[in-house]
Amino acid sequence: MTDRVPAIGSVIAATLLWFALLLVPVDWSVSSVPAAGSLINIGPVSSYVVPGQTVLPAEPVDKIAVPIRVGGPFGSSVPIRLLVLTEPGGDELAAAAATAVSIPAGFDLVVFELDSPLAPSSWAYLELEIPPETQWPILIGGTKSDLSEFPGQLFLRGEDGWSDQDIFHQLLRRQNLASRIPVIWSRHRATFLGYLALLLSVAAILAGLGFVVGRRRPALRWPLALIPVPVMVATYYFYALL
Amino acid sequence: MSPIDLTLAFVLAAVPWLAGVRLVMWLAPGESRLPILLGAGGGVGIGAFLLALMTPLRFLPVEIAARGVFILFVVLAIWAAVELHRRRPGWDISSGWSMLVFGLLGVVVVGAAINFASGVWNGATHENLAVRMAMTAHMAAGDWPPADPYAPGVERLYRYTAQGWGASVMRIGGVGLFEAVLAITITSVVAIFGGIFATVASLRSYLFGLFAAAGFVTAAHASFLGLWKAPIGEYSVSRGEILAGLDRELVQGFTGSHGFALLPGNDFTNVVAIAAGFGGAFLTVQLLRGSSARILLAALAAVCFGAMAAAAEQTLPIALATLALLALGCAVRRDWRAALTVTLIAAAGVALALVPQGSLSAIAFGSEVGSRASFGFTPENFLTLPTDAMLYSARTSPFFTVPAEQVRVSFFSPIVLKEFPWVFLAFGLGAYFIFRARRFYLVPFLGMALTAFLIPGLFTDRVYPINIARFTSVGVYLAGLVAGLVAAELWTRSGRYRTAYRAVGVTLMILVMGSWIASAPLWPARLYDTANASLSEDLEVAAFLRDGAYGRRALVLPGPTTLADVITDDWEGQHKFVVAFGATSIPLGLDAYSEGGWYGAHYRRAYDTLDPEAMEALGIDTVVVAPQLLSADQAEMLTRAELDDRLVLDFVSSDGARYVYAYLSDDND
Repeated sequence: MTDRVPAIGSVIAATLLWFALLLVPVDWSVSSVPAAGSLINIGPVSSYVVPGQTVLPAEPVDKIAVPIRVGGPFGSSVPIRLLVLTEPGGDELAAAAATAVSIPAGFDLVVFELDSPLAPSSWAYLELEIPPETQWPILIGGTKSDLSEFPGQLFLRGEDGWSDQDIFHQLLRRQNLASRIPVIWSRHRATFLGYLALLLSVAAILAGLGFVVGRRRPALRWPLALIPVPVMVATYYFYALL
Repeated sequence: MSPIDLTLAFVLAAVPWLAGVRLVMWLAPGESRLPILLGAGGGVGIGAFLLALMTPLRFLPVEIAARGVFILFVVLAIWAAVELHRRRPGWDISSGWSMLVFGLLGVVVVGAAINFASGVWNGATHENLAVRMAMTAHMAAGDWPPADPYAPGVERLYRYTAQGWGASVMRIGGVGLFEAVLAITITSVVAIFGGIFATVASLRSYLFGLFAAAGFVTAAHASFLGLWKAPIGEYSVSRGEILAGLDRELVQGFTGSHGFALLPGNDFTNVVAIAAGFGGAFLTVQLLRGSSARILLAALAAVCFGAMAAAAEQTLPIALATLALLALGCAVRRDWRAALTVTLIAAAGVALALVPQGSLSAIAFGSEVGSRASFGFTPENFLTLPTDAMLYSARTSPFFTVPAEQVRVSFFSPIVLKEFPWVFLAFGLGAYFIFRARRFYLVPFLGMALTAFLIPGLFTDRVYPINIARFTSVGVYLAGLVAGLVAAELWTRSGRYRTAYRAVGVTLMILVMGSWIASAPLWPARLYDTANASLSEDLEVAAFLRDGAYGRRALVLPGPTTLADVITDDWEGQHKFVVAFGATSIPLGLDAYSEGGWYGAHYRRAYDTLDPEAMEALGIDTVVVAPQLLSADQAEMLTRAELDDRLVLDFVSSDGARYVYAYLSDDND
């Protein structure tokens, strides 16, 4: 009976942890970003020099992150609106508002949560609206235009911008692991198999450890064998993605 | 990549292993423990197979030599299976420990496979594919001795042995380059783990064997101590994305070296060599423990050490220093017979290392090929380590503050103390156990690790100065082995301070394994995106090139013209697939290990202008083109050559991202 309590408790705790891992939604980066060192300044931009960029999301997008530098004293902030249109001057697909803050590091990575998700595999045009009353110079993070991460085109004032530059941006999709697994399987199968093999190996190590320790302390057998794996996976997963 | 090919490649790679089990059963007839037989069989079998393959290649056609040696080893493998069935040696490890060991081995294997695969398909590293796998592909397709894929008219000053094994698996099984090299690399990684386990377990116990093997395969720079300094959260909302980029950095350091985890992706020939080396180590231990088959044991140990040195020459000085220490130890104990036997193993190992074609034999026999090597004795650098700044100026570490652009650092400089605190701790505790607890079995292990760390301060490689840092890397792995042994000693000590000893042992192992553990969840992310935008078309081109007769020489437009260009993903990395998977030479010279100057100068002229004299001198008959990457000048140059009937379009890939032209010189117009 005494051995059963930790065993049943471990099974319940491990099951709950695995369910939490599978069901809690997190932000998945659906566009890779190049090294931070490739970041360049675009601007100053303003309500007149409106920065824009065409994007081609591979998956539905719920959030868009853009590095923005506010040129005022540290802590000063500027409300910025992101509009997503079908094309420059086209119909509105989605919108979001966020605040950019002047920080010592320079660029503040501002995340815009869209009011409706962007459809995959169709071009969209995103545009940043800076209030005309802004008293600080504003710069947008940019990068070289030949990077595969940024297939679109930079726009300034609704017209073609410099052909050798793009707005540095990151597209995010909010999704839980259970619904993400089929996407990873179809698009990044080697990565999926790598994680699976790694997980099974680590599970074997800890199950083995549980059995080794359990010979002298039976109460620890199942807690050691079952709980550390989901705890470790959850720690890494939520730290990396939340 | 076909699962059938992959399975076949692994079956063929396992043949030497099982044959090695048969050899171990012969030479250690009293050994009835299955974990020891299986563990030792890998290294012994690989060592024996490599030398058995490379020796007839001196005088027999490559096809006959490869088939003959495989038949011999298949017979041994079948015999081993029959004997194992008949004798039924026992698996005397509990199910809990078995799960733990196989789980750890599973993580190590997954890491090795990902590391290797990401170097081929995802641009994580380049040297395996661009240099060593290229050589393997040319060995599988061409005659013996193989020509340099980058200087097809000359023999390269290079090691051939591990590549020879990969090429033989390709020839015998008809499997692809990736499958063959992956199979021999993973087999060797498991053989290293098993070889260390069996060697140390023969001396002490299974626990010691496990700690030593774990220390060797997981040891890395203590970068995890500075993980908080890494640029996490910068310009990406996803910490996972940035963490993934830190993977390699975690297990490599500013001191020009890396942990074992990166070795399969960087240089599979070293992995094969180390596997053979631990086969030799196991046999030497059996010999010194008083086995009856002394002569055969000594001979096979020498074969393993010879194969090891032929597969990776930098392992030889470390093995010789270790054998010298062993012989000295035997002499001190007045066991003259053992001292003489160990000395003879060392001498025979050196002699046998010269049998296979490659760098050691070329240097030893004073050929023109060998004269391309240039080493220097530089005692003024004693107790220093080369740094990554020797390779890339101002290359730095995301974890620790490093001295700017300093190409060498003292053993006791802050960066070495930060990256290797556990090495000092392991060496100090190792010395303590030797002198205070009379654990003399630690001497050879401590000696080999120390030798590996000292060599970069005594010798220089004048052709590639950073190459001397390979010793530091081997030193890191071996110091991990020593740390494992020391931790096991601490764990098994009894008495009043038992808890304190155990705490020190656990701390030591955390320092050894910390970066490896921190990097493990990041490995699969390396396979996330391919570095090659037109990978499937690159493989189509490679298949087209390989289908023709071997001996094509290609100009790749746009593509590399120097060594620095070759080991990049620039121009979508198309050159790596031409030279490796396509088994086609790109005669750009590469470096001083071939006729780099002559080839380089001619290739540059051919590349810039399609100069007919240069094209003819290089024997270029194929031009591989990525039309969407061409500059306006290059496109015009190709159009002109097509109009002049010097280029004829031979092949277009499915989406038109790659063209292959036949180049018609004046001779074959």
